[in-house]
Amino acid sequence: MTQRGRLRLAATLPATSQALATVVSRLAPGTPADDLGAIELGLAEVLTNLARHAFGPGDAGRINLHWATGDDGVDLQVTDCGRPIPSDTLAAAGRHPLDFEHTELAELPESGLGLVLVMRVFDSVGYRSRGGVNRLSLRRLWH
Amino acid sequence: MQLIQVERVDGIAVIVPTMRRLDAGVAPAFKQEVVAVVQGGERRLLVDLAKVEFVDSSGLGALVSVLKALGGQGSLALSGAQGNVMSLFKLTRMDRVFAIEADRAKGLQRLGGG
Repeated sequence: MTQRGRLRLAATLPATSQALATVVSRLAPGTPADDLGAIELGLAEVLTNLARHAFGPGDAGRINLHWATGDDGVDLQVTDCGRPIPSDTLAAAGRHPLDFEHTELAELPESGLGLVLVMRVFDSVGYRSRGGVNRLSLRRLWH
Repeated sequence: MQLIQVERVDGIAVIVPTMRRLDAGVAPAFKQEVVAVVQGGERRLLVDLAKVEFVDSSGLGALVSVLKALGGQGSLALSGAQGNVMSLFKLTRMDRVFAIEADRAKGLQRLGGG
């Protein structure tokens, strides 16, 4: 089943929860459960990251979210006009080994894994920041 | 808002989150409440995730914080993680860091109770 949708939300944590509930309920018919869970996690990390880092205190930033499902997966686009993600951050997140088995207790990460998860759950992640507009393009193939 | 209920079974503090989503919106307060239990002197903790349907990296970070608060002088186990919650632990390979048991009874056993 093919479906398209769009959503505009405030870059805040409460709006993030609400948007996720909407997107999950819209994608649920026809999306394999494991894929739906992965999409929810990845999108949660993206929107949380924007709520925390893209806009200054008191600056009510807006986020535009578009999605389209097809036979082989889903494409999502997240657009905002806030501070862009620093250029090497996504690439570095993609290289994170996620191997903590022998990590000392004190060195275990209490934060900073959000974009690492984004790079893991999506099969393709593209990012462009131009003219003050940031666009994150995410694709998840049905696994 | 109280985000956890604490039950004591065989000298083990069983932490039951009251929310279905342990995400960025609640993780800091959740961490604070569980760390307060550790600071209150509890040394064996079981966090029962059976009713939690979603955990993100912030929720995971809060659980790491609890592990650190115990500082190697106590034990933490998790129980009841399923579906998307268990997938997160596997995806991040944190299933090799945390002691994760299928249900509360096995979690209590792991901590020497039950």
